[in-house]
Amino acid sequence: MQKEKNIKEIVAGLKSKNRATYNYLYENYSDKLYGIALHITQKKDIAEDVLQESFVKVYKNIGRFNPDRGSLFTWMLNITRNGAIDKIRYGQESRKIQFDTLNVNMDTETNPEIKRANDELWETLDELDDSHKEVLKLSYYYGFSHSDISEKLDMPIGTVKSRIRIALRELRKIYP
Amino acid sequence: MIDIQQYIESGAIERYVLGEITEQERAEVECLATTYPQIAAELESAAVSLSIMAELGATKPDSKMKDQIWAEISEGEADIISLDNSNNNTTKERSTGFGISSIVAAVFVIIAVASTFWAVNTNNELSNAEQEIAELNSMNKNIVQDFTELKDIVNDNNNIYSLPNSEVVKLSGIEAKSPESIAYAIWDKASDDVYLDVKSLPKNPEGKQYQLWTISDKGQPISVGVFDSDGRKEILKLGSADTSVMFAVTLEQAGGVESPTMEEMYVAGKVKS
Repeated sequence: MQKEKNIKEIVAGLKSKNRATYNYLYENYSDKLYGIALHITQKKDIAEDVLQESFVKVYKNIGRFNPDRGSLFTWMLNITRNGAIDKIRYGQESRKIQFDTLNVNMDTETNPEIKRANDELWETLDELDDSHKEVLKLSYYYGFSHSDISEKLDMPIGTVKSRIRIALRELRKIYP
Repeated sequence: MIDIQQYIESGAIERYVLGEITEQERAEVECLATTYPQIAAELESAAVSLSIMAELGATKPDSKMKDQIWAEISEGEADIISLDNSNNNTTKERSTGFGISSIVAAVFVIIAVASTFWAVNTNNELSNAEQEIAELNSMNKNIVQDFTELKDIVNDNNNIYSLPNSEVVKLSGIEAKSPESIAYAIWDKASDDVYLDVKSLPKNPEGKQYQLWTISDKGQPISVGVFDSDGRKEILKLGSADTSVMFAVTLEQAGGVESPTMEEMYVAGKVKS
């Protein structure tokens, strides 16, 4: 992850709606934010809505950002991720996850962009063990809670938590 | 003492990084991170993992999006989008310049508005008017009651809350222990004195006492003092703190202990500046 430039400068730029600050954030973060929105919602138009709403929320709520609690990128990522999960949880759209294969049954077969994004991601994650890949996909990329995963995979919640922790550790080894 | 490994394995750190955590749990994680380097390191690692996953899943959005989003940002004005209602519980400082005159002014404005509303509506049908009069009377009664309560609070707390160079830190109840508990630490930076305004803490059991801790800027917990709670509101003058990034209250054996028992933490809150 590229190191954020001076955070005070960025926050000031966000508050004054400085175009250069927007360009910086968009160029550096939009693909990562859109990626998580796309993986969670599995729909291009909804993911685009989430991306747009997330940027607007960042501007409207920048006064609530606390750098002591993490980076601006992590804050933006959480806003986007929560926005995407809300769309799926409370919206009209619902996904059908096939838990045995972890395939998402929605637009993936009909929308080439989403299919390509899914394929590329799964290929990248293939370096992980299947059990680790499974929990990372479900928790991070599909936005399921630990208890949801425990229920869906019929696995003790403690096992889910420890697998996620180990998977994250393995991920850091593969991508130092 | 807390079992650090068990805490790390609880998944709290991953949920913290993903923002899937209550405000009380957040305060707990932050407090523990300032005290235990191993937890701080785990937090850092989890954030790195999050960034890696974001990189791996990155997908370029349609090129139209950049200008489309900017158009909404640059044209949009006052509409506030709430991120999360739970954030309403975040640390909130009280105004140290809480003047009685502002309360009086506010009360009179409310009464004036209410009276105007009443006057306009007296021309309506009698039954509606009677109902409105009853509602306005009730409203006025509530306003007077609120005013009296606010006046009492101001009078009670005026001395410590009005101290110059003081910082008021809200200590929220820890979810797993006592979510309803609440207290305010008032740290007089001029004298280093620390006061505790206990709003709600359970009565301490026989042989136990509450202990107030300050976490220094080096992450070291330092005892500020011990106290009893009979379950009622009270303001206590405890010890002093020359540096602090956080205050926390734990329940310990009577007389206090040398280091806090994290599982017995009742309330905690971060110093803002």
